[in-house]
Amino acid sequence: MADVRCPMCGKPNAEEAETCLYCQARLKPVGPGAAPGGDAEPVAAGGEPAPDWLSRLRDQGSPMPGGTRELSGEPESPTDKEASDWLSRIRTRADDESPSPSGATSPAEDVFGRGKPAEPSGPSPAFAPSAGEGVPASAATPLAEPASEEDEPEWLKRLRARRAVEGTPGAAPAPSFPAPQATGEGLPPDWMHAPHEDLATGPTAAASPQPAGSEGGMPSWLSDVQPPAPRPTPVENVPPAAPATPAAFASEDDELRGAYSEKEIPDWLVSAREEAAAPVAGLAGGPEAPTETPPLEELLAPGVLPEWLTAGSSPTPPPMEALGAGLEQAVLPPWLRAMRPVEGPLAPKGEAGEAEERVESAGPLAGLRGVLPPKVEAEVGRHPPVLPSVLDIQPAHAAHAELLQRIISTPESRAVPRARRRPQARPWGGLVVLVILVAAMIVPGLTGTSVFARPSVVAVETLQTANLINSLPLDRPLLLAVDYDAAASAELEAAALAVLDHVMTIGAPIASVSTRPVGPALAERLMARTRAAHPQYQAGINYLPLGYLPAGPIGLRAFAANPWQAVYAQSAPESWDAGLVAALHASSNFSAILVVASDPAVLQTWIEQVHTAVPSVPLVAIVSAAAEPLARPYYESAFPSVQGMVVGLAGAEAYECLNALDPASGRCGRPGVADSMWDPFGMAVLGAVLILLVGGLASVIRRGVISMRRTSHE
Amino acid sequence: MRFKASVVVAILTGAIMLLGYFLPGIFFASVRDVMLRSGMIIGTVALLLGVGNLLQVHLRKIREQRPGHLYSIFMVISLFSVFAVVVLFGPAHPYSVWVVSEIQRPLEIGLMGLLAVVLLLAGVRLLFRRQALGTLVFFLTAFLVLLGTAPLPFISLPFLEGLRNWIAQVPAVAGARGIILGVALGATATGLRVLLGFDQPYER
Amino acid sequence: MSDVAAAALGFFLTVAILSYVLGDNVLFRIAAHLLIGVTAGYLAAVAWQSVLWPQLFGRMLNLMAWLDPALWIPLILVLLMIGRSTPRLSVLSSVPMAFLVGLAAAVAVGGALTGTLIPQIAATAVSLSPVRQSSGAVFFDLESALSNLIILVGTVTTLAYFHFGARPRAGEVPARPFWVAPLARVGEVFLAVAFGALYAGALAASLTALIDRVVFVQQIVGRLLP
Repeated sequence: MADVRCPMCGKPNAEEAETCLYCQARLKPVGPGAAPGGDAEPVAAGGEPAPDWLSRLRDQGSPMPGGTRELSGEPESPTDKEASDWLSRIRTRADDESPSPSGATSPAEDVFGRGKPAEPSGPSPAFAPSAGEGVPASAATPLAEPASEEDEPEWLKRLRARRAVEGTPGAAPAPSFPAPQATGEGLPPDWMHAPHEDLATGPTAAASPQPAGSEGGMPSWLSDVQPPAPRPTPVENVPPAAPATPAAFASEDDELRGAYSEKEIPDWLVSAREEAAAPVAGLAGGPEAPTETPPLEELLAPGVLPEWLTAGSSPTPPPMEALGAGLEQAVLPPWLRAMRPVEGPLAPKGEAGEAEERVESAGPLAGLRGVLPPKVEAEVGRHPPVLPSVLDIQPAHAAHAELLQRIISTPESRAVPRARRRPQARPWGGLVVLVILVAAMIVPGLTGTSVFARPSVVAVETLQTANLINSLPLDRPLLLAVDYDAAASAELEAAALAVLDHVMTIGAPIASVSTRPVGPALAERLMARTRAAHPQYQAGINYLPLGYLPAGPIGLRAFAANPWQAVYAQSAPESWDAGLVAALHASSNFSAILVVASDPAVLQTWIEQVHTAVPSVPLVAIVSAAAEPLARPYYESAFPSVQGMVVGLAGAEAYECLNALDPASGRCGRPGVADSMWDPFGMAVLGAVLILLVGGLASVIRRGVISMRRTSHE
Repeated sequence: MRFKASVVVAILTGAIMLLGYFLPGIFFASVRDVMLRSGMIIGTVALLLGVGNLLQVHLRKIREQRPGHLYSIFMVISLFSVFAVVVLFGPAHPYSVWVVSEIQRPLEIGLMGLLAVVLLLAGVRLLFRRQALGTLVFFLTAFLVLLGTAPLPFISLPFLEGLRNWIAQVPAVAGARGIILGVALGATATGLRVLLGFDQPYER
Repeated sequence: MSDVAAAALGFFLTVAILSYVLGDNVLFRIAAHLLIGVTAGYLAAVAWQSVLWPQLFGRMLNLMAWLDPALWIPLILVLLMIGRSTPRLSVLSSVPMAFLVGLAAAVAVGGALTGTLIPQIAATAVSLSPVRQSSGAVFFDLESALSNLIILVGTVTTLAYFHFGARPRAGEVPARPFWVAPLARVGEVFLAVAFGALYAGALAASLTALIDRVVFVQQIVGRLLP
């Protein structure tokens, strides 16, 4: 066979390829250990020809029977000859390169400590003794006594050197990992070997009196670190004439289901509950045996961690990892994150208890969190995973897995916080807020009284707008950009009407345009509302409705280059004033640009595309209060891009006052649209402030009560 | 073939357009005009294709009588009605303005009004969940800006209005300018990646 | 009659939208779908009436207009865009989008540079000296100097807050350079001020919208009640 299947993605690759062409996974081992699948012989049990389905799986690189063989360290059977060529070659190379000093015992066997039954030594035979006092390392754990120092990973050497310097027990010649190997402490987690076991030892598991998950409810990866002696059927002793048939898989599944249904509690929960009371012996034994397990602090010290834990050191780093290597995680400020109205899948993982709760993504429960326990997923009858190839477990991998297991089994990380109950949504909260606001708004209308003072301070930008309009030339049109949505029309129409009233009072011609589809209608609505006071503004005479300008910034740039061509490109209606139409052939002919915008990005686009093309034409912005903070930087400058601003309802009210200011009394004269909304606005803002204050006060009281309760409990 | 053609078109278009910003001249100006007007038309067609897709989805929903198809009937009827009115009479005709004023405007303003409720609930939620320096600064600013914007009953406090104006003009401008500069830098970087051919969002 | 119908329609639509505070309901869904339909229909009609007809199809009737490349270039691109489903044309189907994207990117870059980046940086880089000169007279303006300083510090620190570049370190989580972290903390305060102002502005704007609807409903109810 010319192809080598990738152990990760299962796709065929050239035999000589170092890495997978598709997923970049390494195809050949980098360490000095055994080659992948060197001992993974796809042999049928008992040397009998494998059934068809098994052959197919084998062709796909399935490790099922081979896995058993590999782990059990069985000698090669005659059917090894049937193995494919590439496998044989790899095996040969592995035999040549294997540092294993134990002859027939494969590295994987050493790693898992299952190649030979652990020798009992007292009541807790596997965990109590260290490497030196119990099991002969060379016999039980060949890997534990590495062939040479060169075989060790770099980080382990550094750790040893450091411990030697510090005079810790770890400086003893005994290597760090023998005991874990012998005792089973160093077993890799479930994800490292479970597929092998599931597939290869199906009959074994079925024959076992202890079903999966029955070891005190511990997770399977914890159960693996139990003393191997009580295991009734070590893998090695399994009669090799037990092919893993589909029936065996089914029975295993059933057994698994039975185990789960008996418990009704997911393994992880049980382990979380029991971790404090009954720590697993193997894990607990780690810290107590200084020669075996270095302290976590040391493991995490800079320079000690293995290469695979350090960024960029992987020979074939995943692309995403490489992309994110130089970036710190971008997060919103926590106080802003807390404002999110919806608790969805974006909930931060750091919050206690939330990580464990699934958010349902489909069905009638969609969007709800934690309504179904995670075990449901495990109970669903699934086909056992088919691995594309034999796992390439080398000494380095085993050591890394052991380290990882130790890290994740530290009390800090093992402690699974109790799932916090999310407060129920308050369906009436919105209604209460709405009722308060509506009540506040209708009070002035019902009482007919006006108790709110008009703005005493007219903002500088509003005054500048008025001054600029006062000085407009009357022979050139003012460009009115109606660039707001209908949603903002309540606020912006009030402000625009106040300014347009001023423009029409001085008699400046107007041309309107919009980059919003609904803009032409809103412009017409504005003009219709002013027509009663200014009937001389008719379409084509003092007012040119230029219509809609498509494609956002592209359209605006085209408009800046040639307004007439951009919006019309055809002959003007005959009724239109020819002088005004002629002025539309260059954007520099506008007397000023008056942008009415609800979105600061729209104003920004006008500045970037139009004002930069004709900087001599002043630009005035009428913006929503919501857009003010992001629009103001363009105004607050030594060389401002925006020469005047009217902001929101307050700006509209101030401008109305300026329009109809009685010089004698200094009071606002003719009330406008903004004035009619001024009292409800004052009441509504007071109501909103009140709601926020009550909310703040309630939160303070709540926290006080909680802390008092906590104190009394203590 | 397609890959190369589209990348070349994108890079050439962008380069000519960008040069037009900095090298004024008749050649660049005329080419730029043609390109911009073409871009406007293509952008509009893309918009229409989007509307067509929306229509297709809802028509399929009606045809297959999927859940919620009655709402889709409302959607389709209103779409065709408004399209007919505006195409027949023009976007600024009183009939079209009536549609906007009496249907679209109440709906959109109503949604905007709902936003007030949502914002207040979010504010209260923030107060309940987190009491940190950021929260304090956030709400202090919001309170001062709100109270300085809106009138107070019976009294006028010029000091409050002045304070509100100072906040809006100095510290808020500083924060907003940082945001604007960051966004502009990001937009420039993204645009340059497209213009240099590193990003090809136009490829399906 | 028209006024009554408009008032009734406006009343119904307002109540339907505001009924959302009670939860998602039939009225709200009808109103939402109506809004989508009206917006899409208006958009399509305006696109045809204001752009496609006057700029493209209407001009095709004029033979002289065919000399203008601004007629046939977009026509070809539009045909390519529509002919995406045709196998022979599908090879070139991404060309119109590439044209549009390239154009938009160039416009965005040019606009951001000339309209935002340069002016905003120039607006930040101002004199911090309180000594000012105006028409030959020298005077102290401490307030302006202080404001300029605050704006400078705020802008720089806010930008620092958005600086997420980090150098990977062996065995540790990538972190920002040590001098960025304190700057980012200060920037967070300025961000809080800016977001507080945005929040207050958005609240004021939405309250104004709510007032519009409440006053409208109040007027309708006032008319109906004796």
